[in-house]
Amino acid sequence: MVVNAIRIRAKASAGITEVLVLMPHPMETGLRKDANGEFVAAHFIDEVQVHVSGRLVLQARMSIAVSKDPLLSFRFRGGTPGERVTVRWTDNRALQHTGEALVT
Amino acid sequence: MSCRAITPASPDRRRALARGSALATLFAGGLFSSTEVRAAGEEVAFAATSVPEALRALGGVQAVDSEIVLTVPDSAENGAIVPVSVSCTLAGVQEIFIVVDTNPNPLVVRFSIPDGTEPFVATRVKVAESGTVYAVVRAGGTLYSACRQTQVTIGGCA
Repeated sequence: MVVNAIRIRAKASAGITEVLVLMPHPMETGLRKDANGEFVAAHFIDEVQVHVSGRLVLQARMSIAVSKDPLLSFRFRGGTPGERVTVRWTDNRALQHTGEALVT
Repeated sequence: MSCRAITPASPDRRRALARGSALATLFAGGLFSSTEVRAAGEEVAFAATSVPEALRALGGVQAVDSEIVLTVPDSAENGAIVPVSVSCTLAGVQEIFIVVDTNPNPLVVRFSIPDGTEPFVATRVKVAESGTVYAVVRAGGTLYSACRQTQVTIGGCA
């Protein structure tokens, strides 16, 4: 599978950093049938961790019912421009992918 | 809000309490850490096929809370992409769950909120057919919930 880069935006304002993460992923439920009537195997991100300068700021456990190309938005206290935000996902096939961005 | 809130029915509650004390015994024996016990409950919750079953596995909902703000569109054209956001003013929020009653497995996602992270999350979920979306929040070890109905034109099951 070609893994497209995770897109991350983290903007600090008035002591709060707002983070927006887009993780391109098919998020196949295993319930969909292809043109031949065969079920398409389930393939979905099941864990996401977001760290800022090594500190865990969000962890998520996902099921098949999160939409394709999962989008997450959350806020944490602190965060200064230039700090590194790291997003790492793992899917049910044990594929892993990491993306990074700086707080602006 | 016209959706039916989930309140602990007494037999369920009794069973949950019984299970709780069984777990307490295991704790006392030092067999499992609280995280391990919770993780085991979570496996059951994600595999559950009904909302009450999922909530029971998470420890049962104690209270319906107006401090939780759940935002879901009243009607969504495409059930494959339904934006949901949850925020709340409760203190000590540890986890936020999103649950959709019409999905084959109602528990959609669990967010863990570490200290220093605001009790707010927004994402997009699949909704199989028109039904009720629940936000369940674990704060100070207790579960709280809020719900909203949503109408979907095209189901998001596939």
